[in-house]
Amino acid sequence: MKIRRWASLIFVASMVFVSACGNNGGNNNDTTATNAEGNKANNTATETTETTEPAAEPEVAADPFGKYPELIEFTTIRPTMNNPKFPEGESYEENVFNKFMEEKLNAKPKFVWMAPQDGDAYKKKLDLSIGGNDIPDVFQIVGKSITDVQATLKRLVEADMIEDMTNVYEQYASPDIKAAYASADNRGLELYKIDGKLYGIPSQASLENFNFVWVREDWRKKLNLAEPKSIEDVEAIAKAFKEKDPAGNGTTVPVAMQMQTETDGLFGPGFIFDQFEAYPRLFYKDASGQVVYGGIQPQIKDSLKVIANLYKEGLIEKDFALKDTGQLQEILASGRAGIVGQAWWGVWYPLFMTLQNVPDADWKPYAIPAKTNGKLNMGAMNTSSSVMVVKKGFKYPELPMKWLNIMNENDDTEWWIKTSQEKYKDANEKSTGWGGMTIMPVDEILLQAKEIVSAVNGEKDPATLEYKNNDAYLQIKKFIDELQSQPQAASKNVLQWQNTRSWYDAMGSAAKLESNIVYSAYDGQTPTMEKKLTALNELQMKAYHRIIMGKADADAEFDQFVADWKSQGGDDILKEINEALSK
Amino acid sequence: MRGKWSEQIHFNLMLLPGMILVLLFTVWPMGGIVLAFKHFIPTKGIWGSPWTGWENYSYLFDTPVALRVFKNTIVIALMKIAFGFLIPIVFALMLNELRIQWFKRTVQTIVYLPHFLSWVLLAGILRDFFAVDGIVNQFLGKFGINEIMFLGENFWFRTIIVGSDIWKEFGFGTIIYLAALTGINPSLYEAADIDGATRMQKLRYVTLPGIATTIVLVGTLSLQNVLNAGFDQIFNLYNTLVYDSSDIIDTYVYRAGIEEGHYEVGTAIGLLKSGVSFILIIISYGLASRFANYRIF
Repeated sequence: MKIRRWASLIFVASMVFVSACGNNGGNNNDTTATNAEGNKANNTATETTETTEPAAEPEVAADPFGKYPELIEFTTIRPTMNNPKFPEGESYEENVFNKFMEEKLNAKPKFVWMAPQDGDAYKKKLDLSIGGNDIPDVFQIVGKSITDVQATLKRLVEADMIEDMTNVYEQYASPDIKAAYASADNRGLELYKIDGKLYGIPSQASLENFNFVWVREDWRKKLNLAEPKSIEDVEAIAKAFKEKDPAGNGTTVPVAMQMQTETDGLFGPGFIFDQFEAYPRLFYKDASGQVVYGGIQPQIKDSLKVIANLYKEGLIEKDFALKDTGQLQEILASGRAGIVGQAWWGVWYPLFMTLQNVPDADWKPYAIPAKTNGKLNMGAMNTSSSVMVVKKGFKYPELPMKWLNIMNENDDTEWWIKTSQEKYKDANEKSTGWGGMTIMPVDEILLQAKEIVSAVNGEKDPATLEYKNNDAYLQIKKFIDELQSQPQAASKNVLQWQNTRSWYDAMGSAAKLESNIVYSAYDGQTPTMEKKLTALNELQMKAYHRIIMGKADADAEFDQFVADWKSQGGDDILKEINEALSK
Repeated sequence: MRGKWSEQIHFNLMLLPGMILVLLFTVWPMGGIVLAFKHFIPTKGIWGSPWTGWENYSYLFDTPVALRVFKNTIVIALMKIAFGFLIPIVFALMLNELRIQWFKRTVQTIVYLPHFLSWVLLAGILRDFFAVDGIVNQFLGKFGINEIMFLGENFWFRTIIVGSDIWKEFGFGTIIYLAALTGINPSLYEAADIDGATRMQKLRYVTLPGIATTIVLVGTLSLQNVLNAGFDQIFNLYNTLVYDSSDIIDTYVYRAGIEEGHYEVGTAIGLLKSGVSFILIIISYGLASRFANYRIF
């Protein structure tokens, strides 16, 4: 009897324990196991800092481009593309860019791991590394949003895991890079300062992520429709796509759209919001100088009614709310989508997928000026989406800064001569230089586009073009002069087509319009935001979805949402932001 | 059984590997529970991190959606427990009445197979099934019923969550009862036959009392799941439109906590759930011993 009692006692006890540990057992295991290693690594790291105070070394005078006397291998990680296609013999580890950097700087990245940036894989893995106190020497923090990146950075700083980069930036950032940040009033740098100290080197994209309306050009031509000039024209084209069903079998999806978590971006309805100067996720200063939240403004309601109308007409899929980017990519790849909202680079990813399966397909972007002010509107959340940080105690904290200096300096010369070679033709991953991070002036792409377009149009001597623009110019010229009238021009000449559609058509037409960029007034995270913003954003998404899908009266639902948003923490957030800004 | 220690030693030794496993993988990591009351800083480790008191709990209770999240968790879990408890019993009893052996075995095998499929996989299948242009709607369309967006409407979503969970697990639950049924002494049935009992009477007086202990045991153990509404399943199926009916503690904590790297919040909620489960088990065990005269110890 005794044994049975014992056995059953253990049985029951283990059941209780298993349930007690349910969720978190795994995490705890992880942390305890890696802790020992982490500490060990930490100890050695502190030892090295003690012997060599960074930046105080006489041999490394603050030269932004200085080559190290000996080869330095630094550990790092990197976000990758989902399906990278390299030119022959190259990889993320071994490529001309890394080799070039090795010659220039005598430094070589050693990848601890790599993970696709898409689908948060990189971010999740990085979180685990941080939780396990096992971070590489130099790495990039990415996230779903800027607040996400900032939260991670804050955690690292609190844990004293990363270096203060203030001095590194002052001493080592090249004039070009400093000018690039200055073009956005140094907003990028402000994002990653804590108590006045800069903790990382921000990436900075150019700000021209305008929402273009991309139309299946082959269908438009086949159905003899005029090019869209207003949002009504876009609607008319969508209707025609629905009636004539160019994909066949009633499978055409006139407007492929989703709004899972974000309000614009891939397949998002951003182009409609822009029509009304509505900025669904932005805290910005209104005309009176007061910070307001874009998501609850009346312009949003107007935009939602337009989308709701599209939905009612059956131009958006019935299960709109259930779709995510992945499912829409399938629709796109199978050649069923007719119109999508996408940034200027959409043709590089994912729009080219249609061409792989439908040889006759062609996508063309249209910049539609807004109904309200006739401009090309854009809400700019921030200038930066990621940040490069250095592990506490790494001997060469200035290394990533130097690396980025050199990359930036050579951006329009040697890189591009190399990538225009024949063997890069089919590669989609060309800028394989470590980091995958760029620092650009905020109007870089627009200026580049202007230059390229004027050369193509014969207004500028192509010989005076910068190297990086020259490549695009040649491709576009070829496509426009020789290829575009041929059958299946796009799918047979993908590279030329991509250059033409992105630079010439998208950014070229944007450059002709007056643009209105509304900046985010506050990019930090207030205490209430930390606790309640997730829930508020979900509240917002739900209300938007219900209005679009006609589940509730648009006006009543929207008013209710605004009231809820305010009372459930929104007002507190606005108050906190105004306080923070008045400091 | 009441032999000397030396006679029992080999039995005790047989226990050893299991005990070591339990100690290593369930008792030892329990130390990590302190994380629930700490602000985790990786470089300082779990013990070195500062204490925060109840702050990790306020993270959950301060959110505007706290009430919704708790309600959903309990409602979904109770529905799953209630139906998931009854259906396997009924099904096992029905199977037991079958006299054609090969048919019985085939049915048994088929119904427990879904248990081995992951929710990631099943969610994909369910999405296709219940899509607006999916097979279910096509079928309903034949009867002139308008398309229903099953996964986008609160009522249907919860029904599908509970229904598909039971569909997946009831076959596996049945096995336990079938095993218990084989343990009933056949002579009891023979005696009942001689007394002229009908099938229903045999069920009532022989079969059910025979498996009553098992039923009580399974019921008792299932109560610990009252705060486990099934993260995998819901996470793979839900969307913004049905948060009202489907957002449970685990999915909320995942979105707001784990995605941002707040492991301590996850731990805190895990501990809360375990605490509640522990109390429920004690209560249900008390009830079981009182009303069904069932005791483990």
